[in-house]
Amino acid sequence: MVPLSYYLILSLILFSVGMAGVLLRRNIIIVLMSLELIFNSVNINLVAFSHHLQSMAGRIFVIFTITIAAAEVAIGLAIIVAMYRRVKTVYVDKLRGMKG
Amino acid sequence: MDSVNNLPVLVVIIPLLSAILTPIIGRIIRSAGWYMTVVATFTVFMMALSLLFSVLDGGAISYSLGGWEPPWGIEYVVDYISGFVMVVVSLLAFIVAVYARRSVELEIAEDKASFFYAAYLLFLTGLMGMTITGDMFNLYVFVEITSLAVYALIAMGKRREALIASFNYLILGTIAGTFILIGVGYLYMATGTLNMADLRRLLPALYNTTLVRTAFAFFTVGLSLKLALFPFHIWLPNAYTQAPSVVSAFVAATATKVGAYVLMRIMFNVFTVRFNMEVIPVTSILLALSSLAIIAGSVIAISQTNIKRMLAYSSIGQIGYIVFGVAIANDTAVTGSIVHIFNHALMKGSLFMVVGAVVYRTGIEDIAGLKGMGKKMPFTMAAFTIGALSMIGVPLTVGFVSKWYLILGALEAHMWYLVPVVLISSLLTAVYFWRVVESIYFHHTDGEESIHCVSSMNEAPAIMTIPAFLLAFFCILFGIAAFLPVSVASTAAKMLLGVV
Repeated sequence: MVPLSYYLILSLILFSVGMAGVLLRRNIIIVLMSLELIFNSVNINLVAFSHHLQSMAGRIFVIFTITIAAAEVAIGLAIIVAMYRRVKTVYVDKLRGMKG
Repeated sequence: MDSVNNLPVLVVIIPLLSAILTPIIGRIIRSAGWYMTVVATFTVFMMALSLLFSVLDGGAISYSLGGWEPPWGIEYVVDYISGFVMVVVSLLAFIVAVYARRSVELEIAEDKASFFYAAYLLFLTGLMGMTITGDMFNLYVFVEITSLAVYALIAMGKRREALIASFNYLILGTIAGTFILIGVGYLYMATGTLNMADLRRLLPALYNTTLVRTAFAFFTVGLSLKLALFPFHIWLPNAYTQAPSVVSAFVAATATKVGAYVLMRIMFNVFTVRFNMEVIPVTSILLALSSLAIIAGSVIAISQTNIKRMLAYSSIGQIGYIVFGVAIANDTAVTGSIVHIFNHALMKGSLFMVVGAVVYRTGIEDIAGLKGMGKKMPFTMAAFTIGALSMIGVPLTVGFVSKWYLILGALEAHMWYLVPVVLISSLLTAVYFWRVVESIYFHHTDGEESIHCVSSMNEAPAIMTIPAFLLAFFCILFGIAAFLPVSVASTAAKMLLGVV
């Protein structure tokens, strides 16, 4: 059996990759994908805990989290599409000039 | 009789169902959205009020969702503080909804109006849920519902900068959301339960484990981002400035306040005061941050030229006040914080509605453009002046009451060195609000400035001025009859801190 800590390390790596992506990447679509990585790292956490505790609750939480992440991305992409129609770019640097 | 027992779930379900129905009916009857929103928010307000009264009569209400008993099912809890916050949120939702009609006609495309109202109701659903729930995972879900609705609402702003403001908030808000979720996951790992009452019982034995401490750290950071505590505030000014006027008024008055309420719930109700003060010194960190927020918010507000942006920075300072009381953590200071949730909702709601009315009539958002407005829109500007006086904390307004309790709390905790923070910030508040009030009443228009400057009276429609004026009136009413909110808030504070 794979010990709990392995799952947590995997989740930590995913979380760090996601966080680095959000902070460093300049393309807002990739920023959105990095957010998804963070979500998935948390999901792995929850499933691992649920397996460790031998209770179903954690797995059910994950179903809800996936739904929420889907909604989040839908709104994020909608904003990106609206933004692209107006400014024709998806790069953070080019958007910077139009702060409110 | 049955529906009365089900009130705790109805305050969440009614806005949720109306949010689904609004775009469907809006497709057939164009103007139905506004009517449905007003009816739904009014119903929710009456229900929240009756819940608060039944709590005042007979103590806390616990409601098990779907008949599943608490540790397994989701529990809804109505006690003094959640009842109080629900009344505040639903009152603001109702008044802003009444105000919304003309402003939405101007700022939102006609075919999108029903979706706007749907998002508005979803946002209310999330806030009510966050307030009433007694379950950590359910709390996270409602936090996300609230945030998703706000992203959509902000993105509906007219300028393209609104999209960027909304996207910025989406990224920061999602990270905050995942932080809260990680905290939830760790607590679940540590205890195997997520019911707040259960957690309170099980956690003290685990206070020294790294897992529980890390969970608490994730909660604090995540919530600080959501409530825009000073170093985490960068999303707020753009979001409030670019959002449609109605959204600025509603979000500024409620969203961050409910965030502060959730912070109190987790700090004092899931964890205990002892944990916050002795095990990890989170109260001293929050105290430093909130003092910084109070001063920095006011200082930055002074240099703003856009009035919505000025109010946004002033909000950051006011959030500082709420967290300030929480961080002092004695019952007088926490009373001050809870009362300030109510007071700030009244003041900021009124101020943002006035700004919305000015934008509706003239399209002006610059402070310099407000010259001579006291003659053109006398009633609206009177409401603004009352709101401004209350923000400064002049006696007989609500702003004075909460500052009084915060200062008393600081003195009771022997932290006299915190008193100047509140006093200096009041002075700074006076500086930036007086600049506006002076320009409204004491500067005359130059005549040739622009076409907006007609010297005759040009008041905003009554449906916009009356709600703004009503909130300004409440600022004075509850400044004089301060015992009404204070008595509820002080009982709530005592229960939170476990004094009684």
